[in-house]
Amino acid sequence: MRRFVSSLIVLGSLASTTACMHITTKVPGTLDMRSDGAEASADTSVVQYGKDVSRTGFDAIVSGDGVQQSGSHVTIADRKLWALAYFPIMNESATEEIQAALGKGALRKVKVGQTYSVIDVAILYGGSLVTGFVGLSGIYALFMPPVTATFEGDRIGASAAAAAAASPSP
Amino acid sequence: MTLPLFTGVPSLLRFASFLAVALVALPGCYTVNADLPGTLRSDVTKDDVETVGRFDVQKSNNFLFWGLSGQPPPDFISTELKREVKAKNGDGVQNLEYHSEAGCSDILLNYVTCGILGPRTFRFTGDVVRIRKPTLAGTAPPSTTTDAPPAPLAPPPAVSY
Repeated sequence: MRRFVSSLIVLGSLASTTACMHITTKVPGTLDMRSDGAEASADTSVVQYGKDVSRTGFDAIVSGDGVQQSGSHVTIADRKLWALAYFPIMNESATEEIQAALGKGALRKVKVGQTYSVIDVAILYGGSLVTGFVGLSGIYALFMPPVTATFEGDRIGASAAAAAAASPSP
Repeated sequence: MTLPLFTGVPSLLRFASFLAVALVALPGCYTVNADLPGTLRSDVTKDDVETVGRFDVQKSNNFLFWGLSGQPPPDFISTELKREVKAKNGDGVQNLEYHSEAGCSDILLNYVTCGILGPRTFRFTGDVVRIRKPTLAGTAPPSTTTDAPPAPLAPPPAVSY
């Protein structure tokens, strides 16, 4: 009992000065609020993203899908993992993925956020269940819980759009 | 004296396991999908802007029923960004950062209400800038930097010789 109370005191002290499951999303580029870019032409060119920012298979389960493109629409899912829900282990920020999606153009209808997805739940409870059979559920749970940072937007060509906006109409 | 928490690895692992599972079990869905106003541009560099101020806004949102309800509205962030940019007479934001965390009081409330009330704290920081580059084709998002588009410059008076 004393051990449990002491542990709670240590935990309480830690929690009183810090915060858990901290997500930081640094947004690269400049948010231009003079225009919503609605009249700019969509950039549907297919971009070959590197494996470090666009993931499939097992990497996608562990780190999130990264950048995925469908036409001009790009979505980013970046899974975060912490030790003891406090110390970030990987995927410090989705900045690299956003930078890759942004490229040399621009994004409109941008959304930023987070979600606790079904995969996040499955990773924790499924993984704990499986590793529990070999007595490793405690070690596994140390690196949880996962939460997914999200970002999305529609690609447009910034330079061409700016030139079109700047040129006087006949 | 050694703290009981660290007397043995097995007990630490058991405690960590309990803590991690409890923290995950309570948050639930907790989905945020907030709009950012305007366009995000890569062609506007630091040389193309003039920084006119900095903002640091903190907001809280109360999720309900293990995060399955009570999602913040789409303009959760954009309202604050527009207000900050307008107050500083800028027209954009650079170095924008979005922070989300479960603070001490958030976790405590979550535990006390058994996950029915799940507050989470959000923080947005960035630099308000004036952009020198031409604007993109489109319309100004409503209620942003200026309530009405600036009037076009009057043509120079005709000069006769």
